[in-house]
Amino acid sequence: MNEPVASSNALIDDAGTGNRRHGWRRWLNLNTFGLVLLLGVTGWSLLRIATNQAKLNDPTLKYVRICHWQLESGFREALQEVIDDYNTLHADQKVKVMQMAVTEKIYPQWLNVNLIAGNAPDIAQLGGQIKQAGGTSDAVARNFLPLGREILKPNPYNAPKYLDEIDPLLDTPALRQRLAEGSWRETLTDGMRGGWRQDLQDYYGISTAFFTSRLACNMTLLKEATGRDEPPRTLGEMLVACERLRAWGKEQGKTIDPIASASYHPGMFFGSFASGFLYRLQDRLDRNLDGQVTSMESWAALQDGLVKLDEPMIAAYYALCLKIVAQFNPNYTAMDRDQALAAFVAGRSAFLAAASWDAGSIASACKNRVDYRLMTFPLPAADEPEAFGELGTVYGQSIGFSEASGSGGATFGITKTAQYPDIALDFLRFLSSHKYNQRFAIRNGWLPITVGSLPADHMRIYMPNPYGVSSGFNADNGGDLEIFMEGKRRLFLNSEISYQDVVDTVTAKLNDPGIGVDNLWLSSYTSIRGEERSIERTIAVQSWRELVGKGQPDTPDRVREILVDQTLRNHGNGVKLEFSKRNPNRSFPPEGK
Amino acid sequence: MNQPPVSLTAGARWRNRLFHRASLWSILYLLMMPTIVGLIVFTYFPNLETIKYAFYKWDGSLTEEFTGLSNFIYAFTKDPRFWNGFGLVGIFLLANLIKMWPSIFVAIALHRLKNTKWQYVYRVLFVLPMVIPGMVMLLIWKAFYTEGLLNQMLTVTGGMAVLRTLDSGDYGLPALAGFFQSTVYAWNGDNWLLSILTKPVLLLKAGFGSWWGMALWGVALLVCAKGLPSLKKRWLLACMVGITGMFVWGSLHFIPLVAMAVILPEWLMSKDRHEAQARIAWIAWGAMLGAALLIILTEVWVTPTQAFKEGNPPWLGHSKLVIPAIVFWGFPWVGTVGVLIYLAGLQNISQEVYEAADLDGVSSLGKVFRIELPLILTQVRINLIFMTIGTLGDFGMILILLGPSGGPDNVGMVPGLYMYNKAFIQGEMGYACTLAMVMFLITLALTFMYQRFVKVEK
Repeated sequence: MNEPVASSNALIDDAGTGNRRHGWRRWLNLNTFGLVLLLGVTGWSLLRIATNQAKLNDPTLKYVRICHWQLESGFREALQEVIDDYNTLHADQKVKVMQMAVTEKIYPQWLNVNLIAGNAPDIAQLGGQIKQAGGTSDAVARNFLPLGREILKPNPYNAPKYLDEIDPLLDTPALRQRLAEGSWRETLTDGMRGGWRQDLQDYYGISTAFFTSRLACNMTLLKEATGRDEPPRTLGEMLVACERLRAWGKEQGKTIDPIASASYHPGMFFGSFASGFLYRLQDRLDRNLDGQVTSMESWAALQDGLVKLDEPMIAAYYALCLKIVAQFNPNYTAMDRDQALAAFVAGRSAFLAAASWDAGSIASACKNRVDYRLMTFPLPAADEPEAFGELGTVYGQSIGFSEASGSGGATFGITKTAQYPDIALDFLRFLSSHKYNQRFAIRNGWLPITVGSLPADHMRIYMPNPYGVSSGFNADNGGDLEIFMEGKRRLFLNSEISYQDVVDTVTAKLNDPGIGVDNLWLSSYTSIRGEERSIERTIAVQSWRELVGKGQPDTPDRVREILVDQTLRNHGNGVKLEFSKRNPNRSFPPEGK
Repeated sequence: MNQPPVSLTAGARWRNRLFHRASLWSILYLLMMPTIVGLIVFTYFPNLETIKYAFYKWDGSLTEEFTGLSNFIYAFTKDPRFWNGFGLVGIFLLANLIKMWPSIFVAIALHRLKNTKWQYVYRVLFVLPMVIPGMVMLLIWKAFYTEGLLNQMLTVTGGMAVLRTLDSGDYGLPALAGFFQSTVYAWNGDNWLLSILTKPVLLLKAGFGSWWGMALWGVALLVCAKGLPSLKKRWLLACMVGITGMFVWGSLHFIPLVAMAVILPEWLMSKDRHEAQARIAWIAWGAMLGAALLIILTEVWVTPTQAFKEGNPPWLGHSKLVIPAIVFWGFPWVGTVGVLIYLAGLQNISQEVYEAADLDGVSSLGKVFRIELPLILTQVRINLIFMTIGTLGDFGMILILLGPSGGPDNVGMVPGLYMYNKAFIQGEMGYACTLAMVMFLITLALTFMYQRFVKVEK
């Protein structure tokens, strides 16, 4: 009789007997079960992905995806309503638009990866801080389609049959004619400036909303602490009220920060009076006379000595900023806007800079808790010390509160990888038409972008004042130098250093070999060269498609336009020329670069 | 009748064995395959790409330009902002070295509890905070700093008055620092007592070049004396100390000081080999601790911040308070994971060791330094390595607390945050990869040093 063979290989032995299994039975064990389970789940996931992908690639349906980072309450619902209207209108053409909301924090990386992979959504939201979606011109030129040709045509969705929701107060024949027959560009409040790229000399996006900011005033706290029944009318009155609030807080044993602020609120305050102080620099800084002062022009002017940081206008502007910041929570640079809103609602602050995109959040937070009013940012009266003497007459008499430099936001562009760019463009026309943009704005509590539109009643205080001047000094986008100046500016606003210290340290860095203005010139030049590479790639791809018969019907026109773009860049020679004019004794690139 | 066993050739036996093993292990490898593939695709491949793009000018898109070593040359020669961040990392490293100890002492205290029921209760209490996600804890601390909760607590407990006193320019730490600022050996007839106290200290500083030099001399002494074998076996250490000394002391001072750090142990060893190591340890630690104390007294709080006058200092808004706020974050620094790891190590210590210590008359404190600490040094070493790696590369907390600019005047700009800025704010992905490579090499060097020189004697 055969004795059971003891085996150390328990996996293929019958338990306890030592008999080896043979044939298919040797696979009956837990490892096999685990493997089958793993393969099964993986296979199921792959099948799901393939099925979903097949739906998107269904030749009978045309899917157009639109992505954004606006997760605020109301936006997605409002956009979905517009999308549903569009899908219904084009049901016979089997078009389906779908939105994809991505968290703002990861949106740049997510979009970048998808752009490189070639499967980015057809329409993507553009943003100034997102390098791959608007922050740099070469990224925009590389990834998005220029729309200059299209915006000169009328918007078909502004035809008379769609103009049935114009407010009677605004309904005039001139408005109707402008909407129906004017170019698409003329139907937007900002003239499509929100989608204009100055350095690319073309339009790359369509704005769908207008953003402004106002000052929210906690009347409950203000009345209790200062006895005022009305919000302050001037900046001087507001600062006096702030001091009274602090004193009242000390008496009550409460910590009161008169103005609730987070890290991004100061810009709203400063922007409200920057124009009045700084517009007069424009005639010195705007070298190419295009009506705008770019950051390169500003930094180059500082380097050349055309303007100095300690000029009376700039010094006065920063002195006023200091007075405003003195009323903030000292930790404001580290705070989020939710914390600022919480302080306002909890009665620890009486004033809050309120952007129009936050209006809904503020309204719902204050409902039944705080009596608040919205107002334009108060400016110094001519006789107030904050007006800085002669400079103050600007506010007292001539300029006033100006949002002339404002432009549209929530801008969307069409990616070059879009499968149906014509449908994408058509949807953008739909979204920015009078009827549907007004509906979109009312639903999500924003300001509409189209002329002759009115927002929801509670948003009318946010309607922009388009008359006035724009700032003549722009020190943003300065790379490491701008970061350095921002660091010193923060110290000044924290009262740790004087303004003269800021002037001295920043001026000393203007010609620093590591972070100075020469680096900005070089990066400006290399940026243009980067754009040219992208354009050359686009030309090559489009030309190849035309050659093999896979091009779109308008491919030849598109190639011609791109060639014109390429010519305009002129290999960055414009930058070289400008540098040479300012520095006749120096060659380009600057020494050591 | 039994069949005679079939005799197999060696090759056949080997093939049989391999086939049986293959059929067994194939399933196991197949089960591991998804994890391995994921590891290769999502961990190793991106890291290899980082190495590649460190030699490119790349903005994250398809446009890339091979630039060779120019990124590295720029990082080492023209980018002081990156290297300045390592000074801050050094401060955080020192702080984290100190912050390791509360967990160790708590674990020892838990281990010493005789009542097993209470030991269980306390263990649960220490583990409970683990349920709070790290991000939530960070935001809670951010609220402490920004909403005034910490300030209120300090005011109520009197701590704010203490800080206000310490910040005084007349009698606080800035005033004390002022006495030590002078390097001129001059007799102060008005305050002869203070002169007697401060002049020897100033002479010491003149001899070492700086307090940092004195601290590093203590490190050099420990390193060069390690184990007291012959100098020939420690030449690599001596060279590394010498190079570091060049940066700290300057060219004139470092030669005699490093020479002294090498020669002194040899001389002491020749006198009395057994006592040499103890004496060197005393001298070295004395130098390091003395230097640390003098650095804290004379170089940290040099000028009044004026931030405590109103009783609401902006911990995250004032350039001089940001670093202390970040160092203080997480007080009392008792990490649950650390406590559990150390407790597991302590529970491996046999009771006979304690009984023997009792018989020898070792005090409770003596048991800590002679029994418990030496026997959990393995765990301490592992935590030390992870702590160092984490401190060198981590920037998430600073990003959340201070934003991408690193706070006022960019004081919180650690190398990791600078790399993040370069990659995602300024779009210089290639250069950011270069910085990542440099940080990786520094971390690797430190880890190698820990493995080689921080040895645990069994």
